[in-house]
Amino acid sequence: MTQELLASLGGLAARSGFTHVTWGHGVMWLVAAGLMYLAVVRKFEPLLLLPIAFGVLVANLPLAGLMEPNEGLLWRFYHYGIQWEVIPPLIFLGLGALTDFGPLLSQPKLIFLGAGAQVGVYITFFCAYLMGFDLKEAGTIGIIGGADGPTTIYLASRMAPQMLGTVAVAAYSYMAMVPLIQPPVMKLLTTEAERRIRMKRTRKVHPAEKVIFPVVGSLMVILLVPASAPLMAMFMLGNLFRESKVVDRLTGTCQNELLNIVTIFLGISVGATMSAESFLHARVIFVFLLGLGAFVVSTASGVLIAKLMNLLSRDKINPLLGAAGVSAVPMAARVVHKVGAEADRHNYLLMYAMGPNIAGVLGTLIAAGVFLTLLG
Amino acid sequence: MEEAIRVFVSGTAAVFLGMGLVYLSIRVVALAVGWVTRGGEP
Repeated sequence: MTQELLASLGGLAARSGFTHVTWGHGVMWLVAAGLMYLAVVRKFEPLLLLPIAFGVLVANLPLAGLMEPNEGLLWRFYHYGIQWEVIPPLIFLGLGALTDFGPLLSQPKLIFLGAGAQVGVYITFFCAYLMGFDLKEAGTIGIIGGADGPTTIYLASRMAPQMLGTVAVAAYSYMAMVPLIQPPVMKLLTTEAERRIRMKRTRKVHPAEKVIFPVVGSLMVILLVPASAPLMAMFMLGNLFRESKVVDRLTGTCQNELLNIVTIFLGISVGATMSAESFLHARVIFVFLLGLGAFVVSTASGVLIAKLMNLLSRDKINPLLGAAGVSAVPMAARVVHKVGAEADRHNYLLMYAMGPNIAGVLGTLIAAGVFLTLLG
Repeated sequence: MEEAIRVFVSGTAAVFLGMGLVYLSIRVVALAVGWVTRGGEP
């Protein structure tokens, strides 16, 4: 009887996760704990980093099988949500419903600052390729510089799914650290006098322009880069809901319930892709370093494009606005305002910075579409 | 390497082209709306 009981307990122990824990699992639990710390204590992008951290934790519990193909619960979330390209476009539907294009429409030339910041994406792509990553991986790393989480996830799922978790965590971590990363670059590339430049008053935008823009804008971008259609179409549909002011219920759902629900599934699915086998490589360190470089170079290229525009135009723009050309809405715009206010506390740049900030979202969408067209 | 350079150059150009098209769209829409709201007056 005792022997049978011991054998039964021994069998149970052999089938429990405790006896199958490896050092790799332990390291991934520490990674999950680190991400939870950043989300809960430091409040770094908690809406995404918290579900990502929990996904990392539970996907690295031996024998749980949550990422077992065709069987695991998280695998199903990942497969039908991300591999089927459902969740990132739905996120963009919500973001579109939250976006006010007014600042961009009132100062349309600032759109080129959003394009300028994408130069950093391509420079980082080139550097990653030179460091030994293949073209698709290099493109996925480069898009981190766009500072747009859903676009990064979408592109990674299409071009380099083995890097999905890594680039997503890098993108969201650095987006949260924009107030630390950008100011030194901005100050290095501008003079005190440039930082004090005051912007001209913006014109009033007619409500009809706001309704027509999502239609015409999506036409132009999707016709030029058809591969951007899933994200661009949803983004502009959400914005059309908002600006038409006739479907408040749909707008509210996109802004709140839908966005919140898909954010949960996005976060936990992305986190679950970070298994010890896929994450614990020296290459991951290079991805994080290149991701940081992408943010720095994108910030610098945005500022430098603004300075170039000042050389070609009579109406000077504050070159700090170029730093808002990386997406990271609205964090990058706030950083621009703060750095500008340090030079002149009566210089209110926030509203002006929202223009290139939103343009950065469009620019990153186009850059991702171009990568998919040329490499996908 | 050649392909990386091709992606780098054409990608950067495509982003500026795309944003240029969006810029033109904004300007054209603003002009058209302005014209309509003024009742067709120049």
